[in-house]
Amino acid sequence: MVVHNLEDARDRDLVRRIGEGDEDAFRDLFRRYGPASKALAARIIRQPFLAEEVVQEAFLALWRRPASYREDRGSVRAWLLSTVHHRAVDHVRREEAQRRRAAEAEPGVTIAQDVAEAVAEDADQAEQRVRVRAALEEIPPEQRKVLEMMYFDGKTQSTIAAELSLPLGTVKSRTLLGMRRLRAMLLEGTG
Amino acid sequence: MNGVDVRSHDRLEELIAADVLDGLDEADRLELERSLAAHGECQECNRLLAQYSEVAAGLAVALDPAPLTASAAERLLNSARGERPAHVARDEPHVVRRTRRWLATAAVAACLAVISGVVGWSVAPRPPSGQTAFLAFASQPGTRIVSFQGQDGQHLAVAFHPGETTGWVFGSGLKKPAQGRTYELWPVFLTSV
Repeated sequence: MVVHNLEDARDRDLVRRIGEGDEDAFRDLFRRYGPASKALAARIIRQPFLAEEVVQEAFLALWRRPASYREDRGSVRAWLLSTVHHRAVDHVRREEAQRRRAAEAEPGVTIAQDVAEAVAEDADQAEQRVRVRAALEEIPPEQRKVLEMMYFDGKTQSTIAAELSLPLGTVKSRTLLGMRRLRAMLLEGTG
Repeated sequence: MNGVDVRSHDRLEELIAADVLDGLDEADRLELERSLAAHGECQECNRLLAQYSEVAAGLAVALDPAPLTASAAERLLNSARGERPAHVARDEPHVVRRTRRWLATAAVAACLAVISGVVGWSVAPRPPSGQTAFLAFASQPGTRIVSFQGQDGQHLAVAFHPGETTGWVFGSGLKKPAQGRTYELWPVFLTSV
């Protein structure tokens, strides 16, 4: 297991309760990870309204099938954010042509949203953010670039290779080296 | 590790590190799926998956959190109330899964246009978010909608943009499938001759 802490244990308990149909647990998990999920989806999709829809669908998938979470393959947080990421990337790859067309036709148009809830964030999450940002600064820029294009822009390795005019093997090796370094920095002392 | 050669985990690590970022090309992703299946319940595989998933989640956490709309939680709960967690529900969820990604693009007969991206959607009552997204797509200029009227009020609609690789299939009034059964939607790729 990668993360052994009270937060992780609490999340797992929430998933267990969600499996029993506990709406309060579902609401708690959404409140806890909804803002991070939306930030991730919005970073990839670049449309807040659609990002929130993607997040809603991801959480509904958890509600429908809580048993799809496997404790031996990571934390609830990692699994949830991974689900959101998959869906956001799928959306981008599917809709890219349409998204571009819509943005060109109506630049700056956004769908009116109701009043936003304040982000209630655990100190734990804020601390992690600082740590991750510091770790990202530590890895070589060419590796960071590849990781960011992949994760935040939803691009595949071959697409990145083409866009950066690099051999595919170089992109693959930068991915692995960058991820290994991040793993070493972020997971040091755990697992 | 079920007797699996540890050296093979070097290649697996390379694939997993990219997969958790959703960066693998299709051939590599299939290789990863095959390899993981071959390894079975392998502790080393699970360790790599867990660790790199955590690294990917860390990247997400690096972003400033985005405030949710005030109604987000209530909308989610309203959608959820129409359903129940799978292992609590006695009925199997009658949801048609869509493929995570299309395996390949293919030429499709012109008269059919290209419909891909979404293989299927729940034929059960959908949460409002799905309807909203569908309506947003269907209301765009140039959208073509083909309707199929079935018996007893069953209705199926296919919405697509000619020449593009995305489409929606939306059903209503469909009968709830028997326990353990699901509706399935099969894409058929045709090549020009």
